[in-house]
Amino acid sequence: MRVLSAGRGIVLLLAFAAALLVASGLLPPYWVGLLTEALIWALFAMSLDILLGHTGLPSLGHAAFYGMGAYAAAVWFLHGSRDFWTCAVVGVASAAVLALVYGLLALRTIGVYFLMITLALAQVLWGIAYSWRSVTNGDDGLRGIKRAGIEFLSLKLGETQDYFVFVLAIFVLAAAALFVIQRSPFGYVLRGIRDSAERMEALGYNTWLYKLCAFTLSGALSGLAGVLFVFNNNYVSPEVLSVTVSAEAMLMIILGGAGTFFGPLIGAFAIVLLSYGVSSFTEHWSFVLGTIYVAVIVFAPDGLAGMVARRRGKAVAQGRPK
Amino acid sequence: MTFWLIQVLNGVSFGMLLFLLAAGLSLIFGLMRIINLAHGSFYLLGAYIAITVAAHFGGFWAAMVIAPLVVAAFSVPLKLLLLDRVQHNELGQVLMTFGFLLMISDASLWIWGGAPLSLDKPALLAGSLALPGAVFPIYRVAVMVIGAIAALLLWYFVERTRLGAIVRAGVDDHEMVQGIGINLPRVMWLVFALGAMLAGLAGVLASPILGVYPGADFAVLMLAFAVVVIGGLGSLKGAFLASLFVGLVDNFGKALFPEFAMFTIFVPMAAVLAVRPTGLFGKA
Amino acid sequence: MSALSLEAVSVHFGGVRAVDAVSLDVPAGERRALLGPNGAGKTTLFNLIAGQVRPQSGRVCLFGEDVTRLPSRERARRGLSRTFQITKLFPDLSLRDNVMLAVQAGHRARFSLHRTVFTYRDLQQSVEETLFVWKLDDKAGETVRHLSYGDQRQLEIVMALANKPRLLLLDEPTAGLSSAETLMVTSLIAGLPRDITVLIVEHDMDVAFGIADRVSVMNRGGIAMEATPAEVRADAGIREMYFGRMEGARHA
Repeated sequence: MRVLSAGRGIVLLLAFAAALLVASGLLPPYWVGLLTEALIWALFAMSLDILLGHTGLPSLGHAAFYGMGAYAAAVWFLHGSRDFWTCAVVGVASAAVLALVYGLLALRTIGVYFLMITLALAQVLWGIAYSWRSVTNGDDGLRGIKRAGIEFLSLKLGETQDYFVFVLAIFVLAAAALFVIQRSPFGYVLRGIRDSAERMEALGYNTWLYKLCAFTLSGALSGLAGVLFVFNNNYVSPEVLSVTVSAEAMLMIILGGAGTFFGPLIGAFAIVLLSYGVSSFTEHWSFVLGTIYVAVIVFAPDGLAGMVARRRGKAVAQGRPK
Repeated sequence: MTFWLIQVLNGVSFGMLLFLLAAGLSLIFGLMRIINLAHGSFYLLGAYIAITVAAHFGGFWAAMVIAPLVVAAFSVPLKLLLLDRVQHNELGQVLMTFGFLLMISDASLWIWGGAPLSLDKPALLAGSLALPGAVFPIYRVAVMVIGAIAALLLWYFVERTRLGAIVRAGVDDHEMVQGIGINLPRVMWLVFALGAMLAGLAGVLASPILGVYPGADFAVLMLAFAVVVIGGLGSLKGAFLASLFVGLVDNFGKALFPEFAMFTIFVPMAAVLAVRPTGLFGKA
Repeated sequence: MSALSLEAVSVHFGGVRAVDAVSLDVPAGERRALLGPNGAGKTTLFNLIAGQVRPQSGRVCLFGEDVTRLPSRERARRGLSRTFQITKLFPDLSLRDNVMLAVQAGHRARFSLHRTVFTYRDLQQSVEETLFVWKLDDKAGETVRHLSYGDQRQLEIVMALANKPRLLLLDEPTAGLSSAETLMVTSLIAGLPRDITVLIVEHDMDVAFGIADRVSVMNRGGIAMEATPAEVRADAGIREMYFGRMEGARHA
């Protein structure tokens, strides 16, 4: 995987954000809501990709951290304080702690066993959310997580348009942070672990520790996405912890290109836009999504970004330090 | 006293259904390293197809024989034409089976509609057994018997036949088996079809008691998954014992602590994951 | 001072004694070859020294320090470096990035998340130096997956040398190479400075005898003989061990 050159990457990210900002001013609220949803998924997918694309750890239970962020923020909102930032911190911190615990358990395995154990751990959390009615209200979910009245830097988060701008800002910050992390020594170590953990150990790296850090970081960012989600949705139910959500994030990554910077973002937007588009014609989006899963795995396992990379071949120069 | 007896019998009969599901899932994983997320879909199809067969071609018994075979046949092209195209991509295979789940789920909703359906018990098994102080449906007894027979047949197949020996060897060491020239791919789709058939049979047997409805595929997949995690992947003994365990725990849980119903399964699952991630009898 | 000291190490897998009470001492600066027929236990002994296999008994000492209980990464931090018989490089990264990961292992920056690698001037400089010294700078941008086998094996060795190790373990470095490539690798090893001790496992005896100061020959889990290359070459017992009853056939 070649790493995108610094200049080009940041420029593209900012250009993308600017384009979205302009679009949001012109589009009706329905579309703005769609874009908000796509950005939240993109953040979730990018955080999962730290593990999948960069470290080579296929976590099929990442909805656990996304959902944890959502539920923790929701519960705090309903029973603690209505301050958005406190809820957000509670959400992200809970997700991070959960990721640390789950990481300690899951990292005792690799490969398909890792896949299974992460899936199972997420199921456990789903089961808890489903059963613990006194806290989570079980199947009925928690309602009333409202943004109305919350203000930040002259943005009225209750308004669809303003919330979109807020989410966009957080997304750009998180993406920029990920950009730096991916190109930091830590990021390179992760990719080394992905390509050959044995070699990394022989070179002197404590691979387990790096994996645990990546797992926790990834969980925390997924939790952030979950917080943004619950305030967007005003409602959370055990659905958010299901394998459906985990699998969809994976699909977005693979469709866009695992281990690339823009891959998860492209994949997220593609799937969200498709889901809205197809659903306006037919009730069978589920079936179409199923075929997309199969088609992507069979025809484009490197994803869209991967196909572009292969076409350009090894002629493209490495991103050189300026 | 009778309360406990009824609960135990309920738990065991439910456990037998779980075994039919979990055995297939466990074997498919053990041999092919595929986490078949469409396994619940095979159950779903088994139930729906059985209902259709019974309605048009007469009765429970025909359905019980035909439906699982149809499901098995249906699973073969999924394996040969699609899953086999991504042989060494474990994540890809799992996601592909998830794609199957979505497609089958949606197609079933379209074909059979959203209302819960159920199969009529055959006249032979419609009655009840008189127990001291209560009655117990003969049908559930039959389910236990069928489950036990299936367990025995599977045990015999895996432990005593040549094909079973190949399966066991394949579970233990893939490369070695292929290295000595055994046609593992053929064994693999047979096992896949066998797993699908058992899941379909579970669907048929469950439909008079539990009915079938959109979403049953997910619900059942979660349970089968819990069984396989606790019992261990690739182990029939583990699947059998864990099925009984989960069946009993689930049943007692629902009877004694209805609010924590789901919980009672997931706590043992979490405990096993924390202590022995590959399951109690799992082959690491 | 001995660079490597093994004291009666034994490894058994089930009933098989792969390494049987082996004692070995390699003084600092020496070039030692480890030879022996297939199944003699060379690989197991090698992996034991590298830290991937734990002995059931005995001690492993690195420059006087007992490292028996330490995993391979801890041994790497104490100056041990190794190559792999089957190349274990980072196939989807560029050659430069491969070298960088090797150099970075010894750098304080290796846990850093908040700055890109390019902001560490000294790290980049070490990488460029290494590439220059080993004449790899023209291929630096290529993805390792696309390099020739010979280049990959050379990279294996370069990466093992990147962090200035004190003890270098070479696992069949010339396996699968053409005679020209073998010559290149051999002169590379012969040209290493004497502050690096080298232990090499080899099948190609000419290569081994060409490089080694001393040779240890293993057979059936134990050390059959330890002497200079000339002495080993001349020994009838060693010849029989390798060639058995085919003794006359080789010169026929």
